[in-house]
Amino acid sequence: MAREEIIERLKEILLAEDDRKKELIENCTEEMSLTEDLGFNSVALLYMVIDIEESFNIRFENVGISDFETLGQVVDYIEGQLQ
Amino acid sequence: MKWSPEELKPGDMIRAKVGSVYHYGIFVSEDEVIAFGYPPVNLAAVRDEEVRVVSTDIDTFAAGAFVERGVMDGAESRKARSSEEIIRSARERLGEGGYSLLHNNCEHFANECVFGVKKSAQEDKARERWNKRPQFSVFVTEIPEDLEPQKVYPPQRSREQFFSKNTAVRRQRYAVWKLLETAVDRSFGYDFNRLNFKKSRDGKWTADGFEFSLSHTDGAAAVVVSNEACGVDIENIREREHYYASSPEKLQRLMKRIMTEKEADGQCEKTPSVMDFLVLWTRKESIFKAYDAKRFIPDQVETSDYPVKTFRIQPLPDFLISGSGTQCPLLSVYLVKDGKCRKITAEEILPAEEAGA
Repeated sequence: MAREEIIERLKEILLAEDDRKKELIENCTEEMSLTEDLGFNSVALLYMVIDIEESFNIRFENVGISDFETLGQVVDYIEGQLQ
Repeated sequence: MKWSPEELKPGDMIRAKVGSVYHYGIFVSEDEVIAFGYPPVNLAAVRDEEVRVVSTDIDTFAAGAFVERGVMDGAESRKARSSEEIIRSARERLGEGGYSLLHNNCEHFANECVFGVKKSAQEDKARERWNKRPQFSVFVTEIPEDLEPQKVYPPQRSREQFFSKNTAVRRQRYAVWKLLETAVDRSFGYDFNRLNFKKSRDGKWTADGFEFSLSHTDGAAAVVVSNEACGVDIENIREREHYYASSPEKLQRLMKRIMTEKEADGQCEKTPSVMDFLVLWTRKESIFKAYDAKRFIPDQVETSDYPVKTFRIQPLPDFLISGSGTQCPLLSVYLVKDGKCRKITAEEILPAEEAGA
Protein backbone atom coordinates (compact mmCIF):
# COMPACT_ATOMS: atom_id res chain seq x y z
CA MET A 1 0.00 0.00 0.00
CA ALA A 2 1.35 3.43 -0.93
CA ARG A 3 2.15 5.91 1.81
CA GLU A 4 -0.44 8.41 0.49
CA GLU A 5 -3.08 5.73 0.64
CA ILE A 6 -2.22 4.97 4.28
CA ILE A 7 -2.47 8.66 5.13
CA GLU A 8 -5.88 8.97 3.47
CA ARG A 9 -7.24 5.99 5.40
CA LEU A 10 -5.73 7.35 8.58
CA LYS A 11 -7.51 10.66 8.02
CA GLU A 12 -10.81 8.83 7.67
CA ILE A 13 -10.18 7.06 10.98
CA LEU A 14 -9.35 10.35 12.73
CA LEU A 15 -12.46 12.00 11.28
CA ALA A 16 -14.64 9.19 12.63
CA GLU A 17 -13.19 9.84 16.08
CA ASP A 18 -13.82 13.59 16.12
CA ASP A 19 -15.95 15.15 13.38
CA ARG A 20 -15.47 18.67 14.81
CA LYS A 21 -11.87 18.62 13.63
CA LYS A 22 -12.81 18.13 9.97
CA GLU A 23 -10.90 21.08 8.55
CA LEU A 24 -7.80 20.47 10.66
CA ILE A 25 -7.67 16.76 9.78
CA GLU A 26 -8.27 17.26 6.05
CA ASN A 27 -5.38 19.71 5.85
CA CYS A 28 -3.02 17.97 8.26
CA THR A 29 0.59 17.14 7.44
CA GLU A 30 2.82 14.27 8.56
CA GLU A 31 4.77 16.54 10.90
CA MET A 32 1.71 17.49 12.90
CA SER A 33 1.49 16.27 16.48
CA LEU A 34 -1.54 14.12 17.29
CA THR A 35 -2.04 15.69 20.72
CA GLU A 36 -0.52 19.17 20.40
CA ASP A 37 -1.77 20.13 16.95
CA LEU A 38 -4.72 17.86 16.22
CA GLY A 39 -5.87 18.00 19.84
CA PHE A 40 -6.55 14.29 20.39
CA ASN A 41 -6.56 13.15 24.00
CA SER A 42 -5.37 9.74 25.14
CA VAL A 43 -8.81 8.06 24.94
CA ALA A 44 -9.14 9.21 21.35
CA LEU A 45 -5.63 7.91 20.58
CA LEU A 46 -6.51 4.53 22.02
CA TYR A 47 -9.56 4.37 19.81
CA MET A 48 -7.47 5.37 16.83
CA VAL A 49 -5.13 2.43 17.58
CA ILE A 50 -8.05 -0.03 17.66
CA ASP A 51 -9.47 1.38 14.44
CA ILE A 52 -6.11 1.16 12.67
CA GLU A 53 -5.72 -2.46 13.75
CA GLU A 54 -9.05 -3.42 12.24
CA SER A 55 -8.76 -1.27 9.18
CA PHE A 56 -5.24 -2.38 8.22
CA ASN A 57 -5.45 -5.83 9.77
CA ILE A 58 -2.31 -5.32 11.84
CA ARG A 59 -1.65 -5.50 15.58
CA PHE A 60 -0.02 -2.92 17.83
CA GLU A 61 1.97 -5.13 20.19
CA ASN A 62 3.08 -3.67 23.50
CA VAL A 63 2.59 -0.10 22.34
CA GLY A 64 2.16 2.80 24.75
CA ILE A 65 -0.54 5.43 24.23
CA SER A 66 2.04 8.20 23.93
CA ASP A 67 4.55 6.29 21.79
CA PHE A 68 3.46 8.14 18.67
CA GLU A 69 4.08 11.86 18.60
CA THR A 70 3.27 12.77 14.99
CA LEU A 71 0.98 11.50 12.29
CA GLY A 72 4.07 10.54 10.26
CA GLN A 73 5.26 8.21 13.03
CA VAL A 74 1.95 6.33 12.93
CA VAL A 75 2.26 6.00 9.16
CA ASP A 76 5.82 4.68 9.60
CA TYR A 77 4.58 2.06 12.06
CA ILE A 78 1.76 0.94 9.79
CA GLU A 79 4.12 0.78 6.82
CA GLY A 80 6.54 -1.33 8.82
CA GLN A 81 3.79 -3.75 9.87
CA LEU A 82 2.41 -4.10 6.35
CA GLN A 83 5.71 -5.14 4.86
CA MET B 1 24.92 33.19 57.04
CA LYS B 2 27.42 31.23 59.12
CA TRP B 3 27.82 31.70 62.84
CA SER B 4 31.15 31.99 64.60
CA PRO B 5 32.29 32.85 68.17
CA GLU B 6 34.60 35.62 66.94
CA GLU B 7 35.21 39.07 68.42
CA LEU B 8 32.11 41.22 67.92
CA LYS B 9 32.17 44.38 65.81
CA PRO B 10 29.69 47.30 65.78
CA GLY B 11 26.81 46.57 63.37
CA ASP B 12 27.16 42.77 63.69
CA MET B 13 24.10 40.59 63.70
CA ILE B 14 24.57 38.38 66.77
CA ARG B 15 22.75 35.45 68.35
CA ALA B 16 22.71 33.47 71.60
CA LYS B 17 20.94 30.19 72.22
CA VAL B 18 18.57 30.84 75.07
CA GLY B 19 16.64 27.75 76.05
CA SER B 20 15.58 25.94 72.89
CA VAL B 21 15.64 28.90 70.49
CA TYR B 22 18.12 31.50 69.33
CA HIS B 23 17.81 35.13 70.39
CA TYR B 24 19.00 37.58 67.73
CA GLY B 25 20.14 41.19 68.01
CA ILE B 26 22.33 43.96 66.62
CA PHE B 27 25.62 44.54 68.42
CA VAL B 28 26.70 48.17 68.89
CA SER B 29 28.97 47.82 71.93
CA GLU B 30 29.28 45.74 75.12
CA ASP B 31 26.79 48.17 76.69
CA GLU B 32 24.43 48.47 73.75
CA VAL B 33 22.80 45.52 72.06
CA ILE B 34 19.50 46.21 70.30
CA ALA B 35 17.02 43.33 70.08
CA PHE B 36 13.34 42.54 69.86
CA GLY B 37 12.60 41.82 73.58
CA TYR B 38 14.56 40.39 76.48
CA PRO B 39 15.41 36.68 76.39
CA PRO B 40 13.73 34.27 76.53
CA VAL B 41 11.38 36.22 74.23
CA ASN B 42 9.42 33.14 73.17
CA LEU B 43 8.24 32.58 76.77
CA ALA B 44 7.22 36.22 77.13
CA ALA B 45 5.27 35.93 73.88
CA VAL B 46 3.56 32.74 75.06
CA ARG B 47 2.62 34.48 78.32
CA ASP B 48 1.14 37.24 76.14
CA GLU B 49 3.44 39.89 77.58
CA GLU B 50 4.12 42.95 75.47
CA VAL B 51 7.44 42.57 73.64
CA ARG B 52 9.26 45.69 72.37
CA VAL B 53 12.54 46.56 70.67
CA VAL B 54 14.97 47.26 73.56
CA SER B 55 18.57 48.30 74.14
CA THR B 56 20.44 46.18 76.71
CA ASP B 57 24.00 45.22 77.55
CA ILE B 58 25.57 42.11 76.16
CA ASP B 59 25.12 40.07 79.37
CA THR B 60 21.37 40.70 79.54
CA PHE B 61 21.09 39.88 75.81
CA ALA B 62 22.94 36.58 76.17
CA ALA B 63 21.36 35.52 79.51
CA GLY B 64 24.47 33.50 80.29
CA ALA B 65 24.59 31.82 76.86
CA PHE B 66 27.39 31.81 74.38
CA VAL B 67 27.28 34.71 71.83
CA GLU B 68 28.07 34.20 68.12
CA ARG B 69 28.36 36.73 65.31
CA GLY B 70 26.88 36.23 61.87
CA VAL B 71 29.52 35.88 59.15
CA MET B 72 28.09 36.77 55.75
CA ASP B 73 29.01 35.10 52.50
CA GLY B 74 29.83 37.14 49.38
CA ALA B 75 26.24 37.46 48.16
CA GLU B 76 24.99 38.44 51.61
CA SER B 77 27.75 41.04 52.06
CA ARG B 78 26.73 42.68 48.79
CA LYS B 79 23.13 42.91 49.96
CA ALA B 80 23.92 44.10 53.51
CA ARG B 81 23.82 47.73 54.62
CA SER B 82 26.88 49.45 56.08
CA SER B 83 27.46 49.06 59.86
CA GLU B 84 26.46 52.71 60.43
CA GLU B 85 23.19 52.19 58.59
CA ILE B 86 22.51 48.94 60.47
CA ILE B 87 23.02 50.64 63.85
CA ARG B 88 20.93 53.64 62.83
CA SER B 89 18.00 51.52 61.64
CA ALA B 90 18.15 49.42 64.85
CA ARG B 91 18.15 52.52 67.07
CA GLU B 92 15.28 54.07 65.11
CA ARG B 93 13.09 51.12 66.01
CA LEU B 94 13.62 51.22 69.80
CA GLY B 95 10.29 50.89 71.60
CA GLU B 96 8.52 49.35 68.60
CA GLY B 97 6.05 46.51 69.36
CA GLY B 98 4.10 44.07 67.22
CA TYR B 99 6.15 40.99 68.08
CA SER B 100 4.97 37.68 66.67
CA LEU B 101 6.77 34.43 67.41
CA LEU B 102 6.37 33.23 63.84
CA HIS B 103 5.96 36.26 61.62
CA ASN B 104 7.79 39.14 63.34
CA ASN B 105 10.37 37.83 65.76
CA CYS B 106 13.83 38.89 66.91
CA GLU B 107 15.40 37.19 63.88
CA HIS B 108 13.15 39.11 61.48
CA PHE B 109 14.06 42.30 63.32
CA ALA B 110 17.82 41.71 63.07
CA ASN B 111 17.56 40.73 59.40
CA GLU B 112 15.53 43.82 58.63
CA CYS B 113 18.21 46.03 60.26
CA VAL B 114 21.01 44.34 58.31
CA PHE B 115 19.39 43.71 54.91
CA GLY B 116 16.28 45.87 54.96
CA VAL B 117 14.19 42.72 54.37
CA LYS B 118 12.16 40.79 56.91
CA LYS B 119 13.42 37.24 56.88
CA SER B 120 13.58 34.44 59.40
CA ALA B 121 15.26 31.07 58.99
CA GLN B 122 13.18 29.84 61.93
CA GLU B 123 9.96 30.83 60.14
CA ASP B 124 11.24 29.35 56.88
CA LYS B 125 11.90 26.07 58.69
CA ALA B 126 8.40 26.01 60.15
CA ARG B 127 6.95 26.83 56.69
CA GLU B 128 9.06 24.11 55.09
CA ARG B 129 7.78 21.55 57.60
CA TRP B 130 4.22 22.70 57.00
CA ASN B 131 4.69 22.38 53.25
CA LYS B 132 5.88 18.79 53.65
CA ARG B 133 2.66 17.86 55.46
CA PRO B 134 0.78 14.87 54.06
CA GLN B 135 -1.83 16.12 51.61
CA PHE B 136 -3.61 15.22 48.40
CA SER B 137 -5.36 18.29 47.06
CA VAL B 138 -7.18 18.23 43.73
CA PHE B 139 -8.01 21.57 42.07
CA VAL B 140 -10.59 21.73 39.30
CA THR B 141 -11.62 24.54 36.97
CA GLU B 142 -13.85 25.05 33.98
CA ILE B 143 -12.15 26.33 30.82
CA PRO B 144 -14.17 29.14 29.22
CA GLU B 145 -14.35 29.08 25.41
CA ASP B 146 -13.12 32.67 25.23
CA LEU B 147 -10.04 32.19 27.44
CA GLU B 148 -7.07 33.95 25.83
CA PRO B 149 -3.73 32.22 26.55
CA GLN B 150 -1.10 34.60 28.00
CA LYS B 151 2.60 34.13 28.69
CA VAL B 152 3.36 31.94 31.72
CA TYR B 153 6.36 31.13 33.90
CA PRO B 154 8.73 29.40 33.14
CA PRO B 155 9.52 30.51 29.56
CA GLN B 156 9.91 26.91 28.35
CA ARG B 157 6.30 26.21 29.32
CA SER B 158 5.20 29.41 27.60
CA ARG B 159 6.92 28.41 24.36
CA GLU B 160 5.45 24.93 24.55
CA GLN B 161 1.97 26.41 25.05
CA PHE B 162 2.15 28.66 22.00
CA PHE B 163 3.87 26.02 19.90
CA SER B 164 0.64 24.08 19.41
CA LYS B 165 -1.29 24.80 16.22
CA ASN B 166 -4.56 23.91 17.91
CA THR B 167 -6.37 26.76 19.71
CA ALA B 168 -8.28 24.40 22.04
CA VAL B 169 -5.02 22.72 23.11
CA ARG B 170 -3.35 26.11 23.70
CA ARG B 171 -6.30 27.20 25.82
CA GLN B 172 -6.28 23.97 27.85
CA ARG B 173 -2.53 24.13 28.44
CA TYR B 174 -2.75 27.71 29.62
CA ALA B 175 -5.75 27.00 31.88
CA VAL B 176 -4.13 24.00 33.56
CA TRP B 177 -0.90 25.91 34.24
CA LYS B 178 -2.79 28.85 35.76
CA LEU B 179 -4.67 26.32 37.87
CA LEU B 180 -1.32 24.94 39.08
CA GLU B 181 -0.35 28.49 40.07
CA THR B 182 -3.48 28.76 42.24
CA ALA B 183 -2.90 25.28 43.70
CA VAL B 184 0.69 26.13 44.65
CA ASP B 185 -0.34 29.40 46.25
CA ARG B 186 -3.19 27.83 48.19
CA SER B 187 -1.29 24.73 49.32
CA PHE B 188 2.21 26.04 49.94
CA GLY B 189 2.27 29.84 49.69
CA TYR B 190 5.28 29.61 47.35
CA ASP B 191 6.09 32.43 44.95
CA PHE B 192 5.27 30.63 41.66
CA ASN B 193 7.70 32.72 39.60
CA ARG B 194 10.62 31.61 41.76
CA LEU B 195 9.94 27.88 41.60
CA ASN B 196 12.46 25.65 39.93
CA PHE B 197 10.53 23.79 37.20
CA LYS B 198 12.01 21.04 35.08
CA LYS B 199 10.68 19.01 32.18
CA SER B 200 11.80 15.41 31.90
CA ARG B 201 12.56 13.66 28.62
CA ASP B 202 9.22 11.89 28.68
CA GLY B 203 7.42 15.23 28.88
CA LYS B 204 6.57 15.32 32.58
CA TRP B 205 6.91 18.65 34.41
CA THR B 206 8.30 18.62 37.96
CA ALA B 207 9.16 21.26 40.57
CA ASP B 208 11.45 21.26 43.60
CA GLY B 209 9.73 20.91 46.96
CA PHE B 210 6.41 19.23 46.04
CA GLU B 211 4.78 16.75 43.68
CA PHE B 212 2.08 17.58 41.16
CA SER B 213 0.21 16.23 38.14
CA LEU B 214 -1.86 17.96 35.45
CA SER B 215 -4.78 16.92 33.28
CA HIS B 216 -7.01 18.76 30.85
CA THR B 217 -9.88 17.87 28.60
CA ASP B 218 -12.47 19.64 26.52
CA GLY B 219 -13.98 22.22 28.92
CA ALA B 220 -12.11 21.58 32.18
CA ALA B 221 -8.73 21.12 33.80
CA ALA B 222 -7.54 19.40 36.99
CA VAL B 223 -4.35 19.60 39.05
CA VAL B 224 -3.28 17.52 42.05
CA VAL B 225 -0.57 18.59 44.51
CA SER B 226 0.85 16.31 47.18
CA ASN B 227 3.94 15.67 49.30
CA GLU B 228 4.32 12.32 47.55
CA ALA B 229 4.05 11.01 43.97
CA CYS B 230 0.56 11.68 42.56
CA GLY B 231 -1.42 11.54 39.33
CA VAL B 232 -4.71 12.99 38.09
CA ASP B 233 -6.93 12.50 35.07
CA ILE B 234 -10.09 14.36 34.06
CA GLU B 235 -12.46 13.36 31.25
CA ASN B 236 -15.53 14.99 29.76
CA ILE B 237 -18.38 12.49 30.21
CA ARG B 238 -20.82 14.19 27.79
CA GLU B 239 -18.21 14.37 25.03
CA ARG B 240 -17.40 10.66 25.31
CA GLU B 241 -21.10 9.80 25.42
CA HIS B 242 -21.50 11.71 22.18
CA TYR B 243 -18.97 9.43 20.49
CA TYR B 244 -19.62 6.06 22.09
CA ALA B 245 -23.16 5.88 23.45
CA SER B 246 -24.65 5.19 20.03
CA SER B 247 -22.26 2.35 19.27
CA PRO B 248 -22.00 -0.15 22.11
CA GLU B 249 -19.59 -2.30 20.10
CA LYS B 250 -17.10 0.60 20.01
CA LEU B 251 -17.24 0.81 23.77
CA GLN B 252 -16.91 -2.93 24.16
CA ARG B 253 -13.75 -2.87 22.06
CA LEU B 254 -12.30 0.00 24.04
CA MET B 255 -13.11 -1.70 27.32
CA LYS B 256 -11.58 -5.01 26.23
CA ARG B 257 -8.48 -3.22 25.11
CA ILE B 258 -7.78 -1.53 28.44
CA MET B 259 -8.64 -4.33 30.87
CA THR B 260 -6.01 -6.57 32.44
CA GLU B 261 -6.72 -10.31 32.48
CA LYS B 262 -7.78 -10.06 36.11
CA GLU B 263 -10.14 -7.18 35.39
CA ALA B 264 -11.61 -9.01 32.38
CA ASP B 265 -12.23 -12.11 34.56
CA GLY B 266 -14.26 -10.09 37.03
CA GLN B 267 -16.33 -8.47 34.28
CA CYS B 268 -19.79 -9.89 33.70
CA GLU B 269 -21.17 -10.19 30.19
CA LYS B 270 -23.21 -6.99 30.28
CA THR B 271 -22.40 -4.21 27.85
CA PRO B 272 -20.31 -1.53 29.53
CA SER B 273 -21.66 2.02 29.86
CA VAL B 274 -19.64 5.09 28.91
CA MET B 275 -19.28 5.69 32.66
CA ASP B 276 -17.94 2.15 33.30
CA PHE B 277 -15.32 2.76 30.67
CA LEU B 278 -14.36 6.24 31.89
CA VAL B 279 -14.07 5.12 35.52
CA LEU B 280 -11.59 2.40 34.54
CA TRP B 281 -9.80 4.64 32.07
CA THR B 282 -9.29 7.66 34.36
CA ARG B 283 -8.13 5.33 37.13
CA LYS B 284 -5.52 3.78 34.86
CA GLU B 285 -4.31 7.07 33.52
CA SER B 286 -3.96 8.64 36.98
CA ILE B 287 -2.09 5.55 38.25
CA PHE B 288 0.22 5.68 35.25
CA LYS B 289 0.97 9.34 35.94
CA ALA B 290 1.64 8.74 39.63
CA TYR B 291 3.69 5.56 39.37
CA ASP B 292 5.25 5.24 35.93
CA ALA B 293 5.78 8.28 33.79
CA LYS B 294 7.41 6.49 30.87
CA ARG B 295 4.86 4.52 28.88
CA PHE B 296 1.14 4.16 29.24
CA ILE B 297 -0.04 0.68 28.33
CA PRO B 298 -3.54 0.53 29.86
CA ASP B 299 -4.01 -3.25 29.83
CA GLN B 300 -0.88 -3.62 31.96
CA VAL B 301 -2.10 -1.32 34.76
CA GLU B 302 -3.78 -3.38 37.51
CA THR B 303 -6.06 -0.80 39.13
CA SER B 304 -6.73 -2.87 42.28
CA ASP B 305 -3.00 -2.75 43.14
CA TYR B 306 -2.94 1.03 43.65
CA PRO B 307 -4.61 3.65 45.85
CA VAL B 308 -6.97 5.64 43.61
CA LYS B 309 -10.10 7.76 44.08
CA THR B 310 -12.68 8.46 41.38
CA PHE B 311 -15.34 11.11 41.74
CA ARG B 312 -17.36 13.91 40.22
CA ILE B 313 -18.11 17.22 41.90
CA GLN B 314 -21.59 18.67 42.06
CA PRO B 315 -20.74 22.08 40.54
CA LEU B 316 -19.20 20.39 37.43
CA PRO B 317 -21.18 17.16 37.09
CA ASP B 318 -20.15 16.48 33.47
CA PHE B 319 -16.55 15.69 34.36
CA LEU B 320 -15.11 12.53 35.86
CA ILE B 321 -11.88 12.80 37.86
CA SER B 322 -9.51 10.15 39.20
CA GLY B 323 -6.61 10.86 41.54
CA SER B 324 -3.95 8.35 42.46
CA GLY B 325 -1.04 8.34 44.93
CA THR B 326 -0.18 7.08 48.40
CA GLN B 327 -1.78 10.13 50.03
CA CYS B 328 -5.06 9.91 48.10
CA PRO B 329 -7.06 8.84 51.18
CA LEU B 330 -6.44 12.46 52.34
CA LEU B 331 -8.31 13.78 49.27
CA SER B 332 -9.59 17.33 49.42
CA VAL B 333 -11.07 19.05 46.37
CA TYR B 334 -11.10 22.74 45.42
CA LEU B 335 -13.04 24.53 42.71
CA VAL B 336 -11.40 27.54 41.08
CA LYS B 337 -13.91 29.89 39.49
CA ASP B 338 -13.62 33.57 38.50
CA GLY B 339 -10.23 33.76 40.23
CA LYS B 340 -11.64 32.46 43.52
CA CYS B 341 -10.74 29.14 45.12
CA ARG B 342 -13.34 27.32 47.19
CA LYS B 343 -13.10 24.02 49.03
CA ILE B 344 -15.70 21.51 47.87
CA THR B 345 -17.69 20.06 50.77
CA ALA B 346 -17.92 16.31 51.37
CA GLU B 347 -21.58 16.40 50.26
CA GLU B 348 -20.59 17.91 46.92
CA ILE B 349 -18.17 15.08 46.12
CA LEU B 350 -19.97 12.28 44.32
CA PRO B 351 -18.27 8.86 44.54
CA ALA B 352 -17.63 6.87 41.34
CA GLU B 353 -20.52 4.45 42.01
CA GLU B 354 -22.98 7.32 41.96
CA ALA B 355 -21.20 9.07 39.14
CA GLY B 356 -22.97 6.95 36.57
CA ALA B 357 -26.39 7.51 38.06
